[in-house]
Amino acid sequence: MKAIIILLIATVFIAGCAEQQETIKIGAILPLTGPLSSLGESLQNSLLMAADDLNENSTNGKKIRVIIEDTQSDPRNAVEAYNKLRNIDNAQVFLSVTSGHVLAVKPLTERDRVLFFGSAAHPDVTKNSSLIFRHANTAQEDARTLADAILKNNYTKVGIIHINDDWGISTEIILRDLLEEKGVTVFSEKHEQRDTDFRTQLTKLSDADAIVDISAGSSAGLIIKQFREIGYSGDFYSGVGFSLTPDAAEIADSAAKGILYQEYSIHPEFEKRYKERYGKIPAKFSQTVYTLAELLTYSINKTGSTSPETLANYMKNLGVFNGTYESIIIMESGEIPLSTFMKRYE
Amino acid sequence: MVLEQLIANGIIAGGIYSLIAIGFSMTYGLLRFINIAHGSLYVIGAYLAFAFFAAGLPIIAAFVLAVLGGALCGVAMNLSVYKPLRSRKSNSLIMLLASLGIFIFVENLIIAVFGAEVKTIRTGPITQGFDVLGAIITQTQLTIIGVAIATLILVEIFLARTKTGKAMRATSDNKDVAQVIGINVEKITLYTFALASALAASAGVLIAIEQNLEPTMGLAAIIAGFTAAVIGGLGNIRGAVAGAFLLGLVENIGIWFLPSGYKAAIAFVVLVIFLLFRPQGLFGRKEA
Repeated sequence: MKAIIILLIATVFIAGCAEQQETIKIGAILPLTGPLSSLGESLQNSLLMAADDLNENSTNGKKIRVIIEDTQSDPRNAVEAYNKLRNIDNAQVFLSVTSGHVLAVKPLTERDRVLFFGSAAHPDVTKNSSLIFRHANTAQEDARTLADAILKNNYTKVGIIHINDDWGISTEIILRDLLEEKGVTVFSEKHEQRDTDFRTQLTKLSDADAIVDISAGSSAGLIIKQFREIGYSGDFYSGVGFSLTPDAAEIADSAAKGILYQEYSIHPEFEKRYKERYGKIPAKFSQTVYTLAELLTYSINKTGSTSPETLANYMKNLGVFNGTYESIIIMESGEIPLSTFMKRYE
Repeated sequence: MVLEQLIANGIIAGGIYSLIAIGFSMTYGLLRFINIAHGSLYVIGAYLAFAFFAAGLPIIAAFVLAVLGGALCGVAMNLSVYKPLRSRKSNSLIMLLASLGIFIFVENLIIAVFGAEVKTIRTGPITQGFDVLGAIITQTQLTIIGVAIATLILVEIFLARTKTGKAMRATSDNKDVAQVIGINVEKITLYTFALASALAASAGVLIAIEQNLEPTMGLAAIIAGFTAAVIGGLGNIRGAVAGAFLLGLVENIGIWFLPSGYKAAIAFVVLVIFLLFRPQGLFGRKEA
């Protein structure tokens, strides 16, 4: 009897080791609940769709498995999520979104020397790190895109309302500098991630010629709605937050008509497939994580390695990668640029 | 214009806080424990209204059914968790922990049933509000103020004039004496839970129409309700209303001078000031 038990344990252990060799675990740290839940859910769905597609077409037996941890839209939970994914689930590659989450996890990924896809805009995301890749818009580019659009008009006073997190603060600082350089008076108000009543901040900004909103998720929609309700009739600009998730436009509804916002591109075929599979519209940004999963699998197949250093070097030397839905350029710094453009909401 | 708008914002916030704070204070007055699950009833009210409205019912019918549903859930919580704990003579710490458990359970149940994403109840096109004494107030906000004031008056009349209301106040004042004079304390506790839960649910529905709803919205509500109840004097209904409006006004007017990121901090500073210098609150009696 003892021999049978030992044999069984050994079989399970060997099978486990074999599975470990053939399966690459991606630990995704996402905001699945809270104000950013629609972004987190869309990224989760996109990653799972990518994993299914890649595993189905795998020719060398190597599979990817996505393990997801929820942060409740609170960056403080990202560290706990990372520790669980790293120490209990043995994830090898990590992915997270939003500056707060990414900057919270970054020091840990550097300590552990693991590959990290940090999709966030803050200037420090890829700074002094060889194993971090960012396929996202950056705060500098966001501020520049917004400033270019704002400076086309001769506003004297511009109000900025922004989320009080790493992304919101860094974008506000850069945008403020760009506008003040050209003689525009800027005054700003911040709000917390979980705020739902912005009327006081909006009241304080209401005599501005134009308003810029740097928020994401449901907040981006509520701010537009509440601004129109308090009777503000000036021009309204929104950063990427408005197009980042579908719920912002749903919440703002008719109040969003006529605003200028930063928009992402999305491949129509990706949108169609996502809608067929999940019955809803994807967050446009979610296409990026599909491409990252493809890039990772391609690099593992080409190098035959899962070593973070080998993979990072390979990806950086690759230069261009043609994914199913987008072609990306990978820079030596780990940046994988993602362009945005200003669009009027109809 | 800014001051008028900030006062209006404070009154609207106070209206919502008062509905939560009254129920919170009622259950505290009767059972002497901090019922964190009171925040769950606010969430339940909001989501029931969303479900009824999505099913095609008019918003008023959805509101009434959600409030009744909230009251039933409150009664169910009392019968299934709090009553058995009371019969075992559990202390207030155990009751508080049980209420925390209910709060977490309900939050997760809502996520499982409705999903984690933010939902919206859209009752009509988004339009500019009306000018009321120099402040812009929307139709929904006027409804919030109206419903809050009407509810507060009705609760006041109910507690002051009806036999059940008087029994509730008597039980809240002194449970043992109430029992001695023939009041069925268990029955009164049940009624109190029903009324308190209905008030929390009505606040949830109003905020869902005004802003939006998400499963974790109960935490902010319970913090505001608790703070308002402490300011007014825990267990005191009129105090809870006064505390709620004071909190709403202080939060909103405070950020006229300070950056608006300090809104939550202002509320906590007020709470700490009261706890340090007037722990019995505005209307509470100093314990001997």
